[in-house]
Amino acid sequence: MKKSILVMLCCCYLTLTGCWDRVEMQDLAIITAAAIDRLEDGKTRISVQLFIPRAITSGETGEDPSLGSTFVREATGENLANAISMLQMNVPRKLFWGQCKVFIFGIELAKNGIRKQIDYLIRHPGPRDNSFLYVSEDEAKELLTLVPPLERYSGEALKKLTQEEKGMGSTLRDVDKALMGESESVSIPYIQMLVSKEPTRKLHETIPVIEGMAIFKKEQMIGVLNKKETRGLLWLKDDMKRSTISIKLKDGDGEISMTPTSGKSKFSPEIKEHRWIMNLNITIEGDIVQNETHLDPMDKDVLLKIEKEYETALKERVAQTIEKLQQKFNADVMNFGRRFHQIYPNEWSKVKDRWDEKFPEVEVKIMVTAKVRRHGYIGPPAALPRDEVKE
Amino acid sequence: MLVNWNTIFVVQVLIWLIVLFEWKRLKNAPKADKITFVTILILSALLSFFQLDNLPGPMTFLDYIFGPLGKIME
Amino acid sequence: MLEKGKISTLQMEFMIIPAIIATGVLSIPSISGKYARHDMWMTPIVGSIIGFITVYIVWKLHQLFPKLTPFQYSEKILGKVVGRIFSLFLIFFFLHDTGIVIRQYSDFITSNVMRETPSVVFSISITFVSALAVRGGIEVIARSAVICTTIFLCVSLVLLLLIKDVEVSYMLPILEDGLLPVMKGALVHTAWFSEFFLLAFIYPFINTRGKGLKSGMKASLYVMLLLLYFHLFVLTILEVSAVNQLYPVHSIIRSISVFGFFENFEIIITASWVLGNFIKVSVFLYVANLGIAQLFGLSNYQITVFPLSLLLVLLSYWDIPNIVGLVDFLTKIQPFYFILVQTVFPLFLLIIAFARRKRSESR
Repeated sequence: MKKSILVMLCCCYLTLTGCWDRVEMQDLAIITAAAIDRLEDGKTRISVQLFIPRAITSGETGEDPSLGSTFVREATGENLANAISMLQMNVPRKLFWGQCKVFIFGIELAKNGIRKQIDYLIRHPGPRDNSFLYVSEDEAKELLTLVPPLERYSGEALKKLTQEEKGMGSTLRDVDKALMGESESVSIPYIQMLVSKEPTRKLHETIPVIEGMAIFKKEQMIGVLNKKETRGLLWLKDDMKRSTISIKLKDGDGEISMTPTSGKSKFSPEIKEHRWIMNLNITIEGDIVQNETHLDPMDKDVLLKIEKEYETALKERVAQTIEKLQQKFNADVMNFGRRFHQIYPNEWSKVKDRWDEKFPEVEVKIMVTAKVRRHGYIGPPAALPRDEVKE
Repeated sequence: MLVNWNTIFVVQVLIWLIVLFEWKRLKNAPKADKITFVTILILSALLSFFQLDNLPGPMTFLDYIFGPLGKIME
Repeated sequence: MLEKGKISTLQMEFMIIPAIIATGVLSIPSISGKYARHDMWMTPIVGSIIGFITVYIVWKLHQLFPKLTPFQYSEKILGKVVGRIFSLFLIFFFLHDTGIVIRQYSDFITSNVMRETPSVVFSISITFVSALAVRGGIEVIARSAVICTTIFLCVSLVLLLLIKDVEVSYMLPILEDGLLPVMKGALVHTAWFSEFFLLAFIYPFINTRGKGLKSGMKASLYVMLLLLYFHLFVLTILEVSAVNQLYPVHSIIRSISVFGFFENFEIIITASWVLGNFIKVSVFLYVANLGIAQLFGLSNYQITVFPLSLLLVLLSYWDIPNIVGLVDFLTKIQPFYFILVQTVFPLFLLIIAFARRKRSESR
């Protein structure tokens, strides 16, 4: 009995050591964000934002906060894999990708195609599928060096901005799925540095913000939707919170603004006599947050009129975005292709190979139902003598 | 053919460990038990002398038999 | 009688479920998805038919020879010489199959969790632990199966945390290219479902008679439901990009994030899969080992366990150069090979046994 225990112990020592993959915290360089650029000579440059653990623990001991808790290292190579292996040579610790939730592509790279980089990121077991991708207006590396005044590092600031509006972000998996799917198009947030006008702040003490949506088609970036059109895209993606819409009533003398609280968009494709129609039903509920007019929204008729006006305003915005995507970019970011494929597989198989030509011809019929739910603390316009309120 | 000395060494060590561990039981075992025991160990020792990854074996054989059937999966 | 232990039908179910699903959950979804694409969720349902058939055949054989394993009754059915050759073939089949199981497991661990550790460490460690269980006999395997399978199944529930990311419309269009792709995908499943043949070696040791068929069918149903559960999540989250992933279930679990706070669930699920594979290897090793003991008339089956484990580790590397070769085998050869050995051969045995019985009765 004793002997067998001894043998077993020996075997345990032999098999359970597992030293090959042993990694200690102090041997890791934690990457918080990464930026990939294409240089003029066609080489790839990777810049990573590395976390300095010490800076967090001794935050109150009078260290200069503007130094930040991260630093940036970069390396260049023929391709991404090459560049990263070069980068490892510049960092004394083992690069750790598990916490990296932000990847920024430089615009040059985006215009040249991102497929090769996506392949690395998906294939490599380090980066996570649910990390967010961005396209920067300029060189991506610049954004990593920013020191946000509020967050610990710019990567986190960016991540939080995206998480607030879920439909905004594109994860690695979303991009992979969309580019291999029916539409072969995807939208990725387009970011740029926020210029701070505070005289006491230095130029780099700011954060990157989302300025629009970069539209990709077959791995290449073909254009950008501006802020207003991006809002339109968000309506389509079922994420309409936090974007206030203002309307002007015919007999009003100002604008009424509403913040949506909940909304849903429903796509139902339809093929009628060779006409491809996409019926889009948007229902939206919101609160009135500002009323510049003299109208009293407590009044039933006025409310009805306001709702109607919202419906047309919303319709216009969404139609604008769709029009731009269809006619200018010809990029099926909203996955119309997939929706047609799901309902009309036979018809789809006929146009599958020339979806590019078909997509701009798809008629989009938009139906909006808007409901005003609440008026805030007050009903009639504020700071207005009662007899001036129109009803 | 290239011989992988590491594999041979590890397999030899394991074989002798097993013999040592089972020695008590083996001593009083009937003949059939001893023969099977030794045969299996010799088989393992034999296998360890080859480059197993690329040595044609069961997979190649099965591929030969079921290969034509496997075509329908393409 | 070599094996004196007795187990209950419930323990049998706990043994057989991981013995089928442990590697199935690793390898099947990506292969079946390759063929059936949007309809991949149907493949386990279609494939399970083979499972039910196999359970029924095995049960009928068991009723004819209630206390014997296939190694013993094949001699009675086919005659001494042919029966022994068949048993020898079965032993080689199970050894080779176990080798493939160990290879799938160690490949998975080295490519996903511990990338710098040589895979031989994992194949040796899992066979060693399984060998210890097998030496303890069927009761020890059954008891550890109850614990391990419970953990395995409970941990599988973490997939439910993904429910908010599920996009049901990915299941459309249904049956776009007809039934053929679904059948091809289901064929991949049948290789795993035919492994219910293992029940033939467990039935003789069940303590309650007459309940085996029902619990075998139940086990088959559970395996089907579990595979369906994994397939549904893989399909509704990854859509067709599941095809590109080698281990789609693992990769959807990687993306679980609860409030951005609870993450890295893949470590827990990998640990539970290790437990599942431990049961799987134990059951297979037990069967091969029992076969050798019964065929060569050994006095006990403990003595050959360690030599066989060593042989298994070597077998797991034999003639499998890389993962491409392995996947190719799982896709194109395994379905036919496994169904032939584990479903068609027992069916022949059953028919011959019935014919013989008829003849001896009519005399």
